[in-house]
Amino acid sequence: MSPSSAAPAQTSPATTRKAAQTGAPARRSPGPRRISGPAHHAHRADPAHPADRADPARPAARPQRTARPAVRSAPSSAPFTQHVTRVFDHSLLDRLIRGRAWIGLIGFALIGIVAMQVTLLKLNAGIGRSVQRVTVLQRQSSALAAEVAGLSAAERVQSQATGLGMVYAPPNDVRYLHVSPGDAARAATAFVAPSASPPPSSTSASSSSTPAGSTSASGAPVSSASIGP
Amino acid sequence: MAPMQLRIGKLFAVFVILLAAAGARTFYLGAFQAGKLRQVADGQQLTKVEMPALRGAILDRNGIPLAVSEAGEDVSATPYLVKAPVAAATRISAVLGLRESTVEKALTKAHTGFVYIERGVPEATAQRVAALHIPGIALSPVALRAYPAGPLAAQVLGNVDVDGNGLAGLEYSKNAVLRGSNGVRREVNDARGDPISVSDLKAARPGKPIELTLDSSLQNAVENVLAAVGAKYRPQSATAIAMDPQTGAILAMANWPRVSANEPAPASARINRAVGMTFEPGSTFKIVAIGGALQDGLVTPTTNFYLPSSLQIYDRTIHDAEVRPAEEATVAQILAKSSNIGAVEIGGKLGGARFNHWVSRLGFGRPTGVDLPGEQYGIVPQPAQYSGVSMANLPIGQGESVTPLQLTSAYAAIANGGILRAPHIVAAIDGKPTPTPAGRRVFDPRVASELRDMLRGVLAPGGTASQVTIPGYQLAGKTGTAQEVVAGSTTYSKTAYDASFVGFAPAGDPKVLVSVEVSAPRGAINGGEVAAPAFGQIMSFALPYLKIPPA
Repeated sequence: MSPSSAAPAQTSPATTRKAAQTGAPARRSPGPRRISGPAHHAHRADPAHPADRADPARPAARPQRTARPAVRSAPSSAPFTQHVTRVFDHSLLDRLIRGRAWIGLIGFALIGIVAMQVTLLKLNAGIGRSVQRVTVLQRQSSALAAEVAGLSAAERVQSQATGLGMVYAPPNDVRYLHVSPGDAARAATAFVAPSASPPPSSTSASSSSTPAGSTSASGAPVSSASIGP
Repeated sequence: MAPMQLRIGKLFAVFVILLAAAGARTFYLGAFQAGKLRQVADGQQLTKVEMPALRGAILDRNGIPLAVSEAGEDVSATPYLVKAPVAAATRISAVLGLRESTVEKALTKAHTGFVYIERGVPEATAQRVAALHIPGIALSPVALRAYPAGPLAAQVLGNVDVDGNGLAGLEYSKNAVLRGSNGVRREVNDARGDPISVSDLKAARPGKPIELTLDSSLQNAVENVLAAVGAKYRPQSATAIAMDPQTGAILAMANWPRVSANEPAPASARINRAVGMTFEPGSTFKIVAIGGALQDGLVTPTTNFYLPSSLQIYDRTIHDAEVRPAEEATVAQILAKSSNIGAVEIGGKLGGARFNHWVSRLGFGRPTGVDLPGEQYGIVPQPAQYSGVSMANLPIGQGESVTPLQLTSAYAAIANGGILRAPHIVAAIDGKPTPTPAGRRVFDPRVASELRDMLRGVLAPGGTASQVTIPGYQLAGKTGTAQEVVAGSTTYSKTAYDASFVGFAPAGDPKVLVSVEVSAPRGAINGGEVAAPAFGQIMSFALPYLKIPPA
């Protein structure tokens, strides 16, 4: 069957809508109306029933679209409108608008807007100055870092130390300590709680330390090179 | 119509006319003049400033900065805005230390709206220029590169151009890491030039710092030793390398003459000769033939060779450095006394093909793979190019060219037990450690140990560097003396020699390896006399400094 031969048998939804627009009075449904979703038939699918029969020439039954009744929203909107109308008609507002206080209020609001804009501009300018200040500080920091790097250069430090009479100890003047398994335990037991008395002078401290070059029976070298005169 | 209503009507008409006129004007400005006016407004109020990214710092292995970035400014001018160029030139030149005529020429340059007066001016000096308040003079922020240690490792670090691009050395090879990216800042200014709004359209991204394996104190000591060699022997050039042979980490890499990284210098002086120069190694190359013969099982350290007083091969007569009668000597004695005839005999036993195999196996004739730019391949003849006398000079280090780093790397393989590893100088990038290059075994541990033992004989009594000792430490190494090739010819110079020494300590368990190469020294030519003492001085500093106990 060709589509053209099937056309007269159908009822076009567009035709239905047109009919509704061209003057057919809206008919209120007597019962509760379905809002959306597929149509649910009361009966089970029955191939013998004309609506359930598969017919390629006939489109499946579509749910009927019906305009919602206008009265559904009326109960909620009416009090709101009445409230708004009451506010507009309120005597206090009427007195305010007709009185001189309204001019002052508008003026105050305008001044407030201008003041807010000025404040915003000042805030922006402040942020801008801060960003620029950050940049300046970063640049100063980099310059100072470069200065620190120059002061900590190995050659400068060594020449300064040499000027103070310091020299690197010759290799044979360096003594290395060796540890044995019991040394750590002995060192731990040798710890004493600090006393309230003043610390010993550096001379006495060095004289009481382990003499350089002392070795134990075995173990790896642990101490670093000493700096000699 | 009442008079009052008439007046109101007239007033209304006036307002309507004024409103219409304003509307028409607004339409004209908005529709026809919008582009031009926007451009003018942008020029007056908007400024887009390029914010330079600070280049990443280069640090030594202890975190001491070797290269840092600091803020600076480019001083430029818009000539037609400078009202009194002569007076302005006087004031600006006094601050910048430039010639007045140079500044005046820039300020009076015709047909241009932009001219640089001076680029890369330190921030403090630039602020003094800004304080002059001369209309038409502008400052543009830039990042300056500074090398706080001055000449320290200058050839290794390299340098950058005025735009902050690396030109040489690590600055060039690691430019992509160090450079970062500049930002763009948008500034909206009011009529007085004060910023109303400042926003970063693109944030500047600073470069990443690089940490090297170099130790600045050791580097300084090595450079001082080379400076002393330079003062004493007035050579053409000198270079020295200190390396951890176990990892291939370069602890110092020095060149003489020194150049300041902060000052302009000739390009030739900026070459890192440790990788960018080749030389004929001489006797230091004898370990190739001897090591190869040991590994191939052709000889042992005690194998005896008959050494005539001279050896005739075709038209060439080979002598040892010192005249001696015919004698027998072991392989160990041949190495200790650096016998040319002995090395040629061992090379002959090895054969051309196997000798070439060992030359290639030890990394000669190709870059070591160090993370430094400008590394040379060296010149190594292939067996097909050998003549009848090739095996009379190649085993003694004549006829091939190597870089100091190639030689150092080969000796490191002997020192660490037989692993040839690519040297490296970058320890970490942006705090992330770089992986230690994987090595490949070239000698069995036994052969490496035998070579180390034999190399101790060079610094023992009777060896070619017996005058170099460090009490408490066993040293090992090899001297080298080679004639230089006359530039532009195929003949050897009779006056210019390369003196070299490569050695390590402690000999039993090497922790530091030092090589010294001195090109064309005057007054003395032998590696044992010129380079070996420098090796001893460097080791004397390095061993206690690196806390390496005597062994």
